[in-house]
Amino acid sequence: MDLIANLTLGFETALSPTNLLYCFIGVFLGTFIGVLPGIGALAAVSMLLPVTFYLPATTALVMLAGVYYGAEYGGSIASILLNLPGTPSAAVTCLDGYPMAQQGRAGVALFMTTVASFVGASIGIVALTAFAPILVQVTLAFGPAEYFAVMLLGLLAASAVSQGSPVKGIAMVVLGLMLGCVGTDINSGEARFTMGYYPLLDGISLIALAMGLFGISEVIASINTTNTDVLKGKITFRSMLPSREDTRRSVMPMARGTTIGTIFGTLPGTGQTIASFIAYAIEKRVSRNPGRFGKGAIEGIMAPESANNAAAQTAFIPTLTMGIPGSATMALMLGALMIHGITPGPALMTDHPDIFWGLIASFWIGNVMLVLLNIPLIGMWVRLLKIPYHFLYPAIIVLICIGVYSINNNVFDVGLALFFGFVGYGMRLLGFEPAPLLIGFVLGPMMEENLRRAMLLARGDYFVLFQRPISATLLTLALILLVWAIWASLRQRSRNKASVTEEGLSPPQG
Amino acid sequence: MSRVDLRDIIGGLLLMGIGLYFLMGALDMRVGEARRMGPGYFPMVLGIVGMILGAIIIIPALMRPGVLPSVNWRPLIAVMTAILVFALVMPRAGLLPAVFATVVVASFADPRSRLWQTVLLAAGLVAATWVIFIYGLGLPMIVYRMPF
Repeated sequence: MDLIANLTLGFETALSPTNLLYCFIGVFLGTFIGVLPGIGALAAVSMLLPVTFYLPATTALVMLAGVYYGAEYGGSIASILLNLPGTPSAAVTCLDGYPMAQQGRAGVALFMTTVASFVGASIGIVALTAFAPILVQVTLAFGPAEYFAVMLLGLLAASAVSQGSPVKGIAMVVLGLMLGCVGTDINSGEARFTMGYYPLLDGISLIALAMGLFGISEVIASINTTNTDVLKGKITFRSMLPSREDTRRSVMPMARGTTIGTIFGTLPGTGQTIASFIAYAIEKRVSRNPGRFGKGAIEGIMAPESANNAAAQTAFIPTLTMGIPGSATMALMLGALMIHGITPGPALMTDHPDIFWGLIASFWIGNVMLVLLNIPLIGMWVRLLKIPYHFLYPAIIVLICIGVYSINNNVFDVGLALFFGFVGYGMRLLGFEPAPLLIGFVLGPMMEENLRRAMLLARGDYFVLFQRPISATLLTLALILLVWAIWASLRQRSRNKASVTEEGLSPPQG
Repeated sequence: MSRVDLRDIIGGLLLMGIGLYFLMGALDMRVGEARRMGPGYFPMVLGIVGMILGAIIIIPALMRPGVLPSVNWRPLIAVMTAILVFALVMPRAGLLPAVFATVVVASFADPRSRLWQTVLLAAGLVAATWVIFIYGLGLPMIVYRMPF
């Protein structure tokens, strides 16, 4: 069996002492970041990117991925205890998690969300293991036209489905593509949009961009708005045990949530936040007694938590097989791969099976570690939430500065991060999401390259893109999405109720 | 509350401006044709698309009322200055003084910060920086030097 051989290789890689250590550091930091309201996985991954220069590629990815899915576990803790989502995808967990805590059932809620997270993630990993090799086979038949089409569809999906106005999301993708053009043009060697700055010839640094847009602007937005003084009480192990009734009510929502998460994680652009919102909505729909939701119904935390963890794992499917990131965090993962000189895409699985399968095996290990971190050590995370934010944010700023400076030992990158921090805060104020921008930035150069190649092969005839079946289908879908986005935006005279509640629920993007 | 949604109008105008800048920049380069694209081709398309999207954002905003978001001035200025201070101190005096100065300046962002707490925090972070980045990870950075 190929699969068994592959998984054996994966576990051999993931169980090496170095990788185990960094996997643990990753999930630990991820939970840490997830617990803290105001900074999400995205900011954390971008802060750690420079550190991974000093590690081998597999170890670096294992750690970064650990941060990413670890944050999904940690995110629910702040949601339940403080009614503040630690990560955007845990926002829905506030709706029923916080009422449960108010009823003195915080322990049960914390225990059961960990269970839901673990189940969701495990099934997500199974789906990843099963479908990734199949998708690689499909992707191997892709030419430049198909690549261009799939990237275009992915970008449009990522922006159109994000929170808020779809056209604003698409605008951010375009802005990201523009920023991706900065630097030396690969085909002609001509410098583009460098404004005379010599360091920009290599392009804008991904790390400086991500830290500015997410790290710096998130810190500015959360100072004075993040209040953690309300927390009191202690979580004992006894209080965490669910009743038989709780368990019975949790099984089906968990199954439905996991299914939704697995599907939505795979689609480019949708991701965990959308999956958790949809899982909650469906639970409410199928419930015989929807009135209980919002008042501490356990179904209302189980479904979204299993959905966002399943989605966090299956998001790796398009990233690892096609080299197309479905979310901004995945874009950073791809960035990490490219920093280590590895080209993402279908060849990754055949050329670097140790990275591919080692990463997947590390997910299993990391999730087991997370259960251990979240159940016996819950008291530590609760205490962490009691640290006032004005002691934390200076440390975050220092970390950002050192991280950005260390890329090239150059002040220029710090200045660049400062500039993008300002831009990111402005975007936040004007209601533009930074996440689609980052996806556009990472995909931009690849997209231009593939478009140029496809057009060269087609002798400049754009209709060729519509003559190949796969690219025609993908482009038609992209076109439908585009028309829908523009139509939805023009129709929206007043900002509708749904988007207002969504904005209110998920201020920090991560 | 204003009669038009100023927030989206500002956003759309900025986007159109950036689009125009890219379009002009792209036209300065060799554009080429679809069959053999020059360095200016892709940015040119992006510039045009950006301007169109800006317009699509502005049009509905003219027909609905809206509120301008309020700016968190104090954290914005303090955090920006703190990072600027890092960029200025780092190459002149080294990592540890830069960390100390950055923390002190950053603490002005939150009115709850107390001076003695800030100094303690800064000292603690200087120590942590040395342990993690210099001793632990061995980053090749100037730790400390006399600035003059």
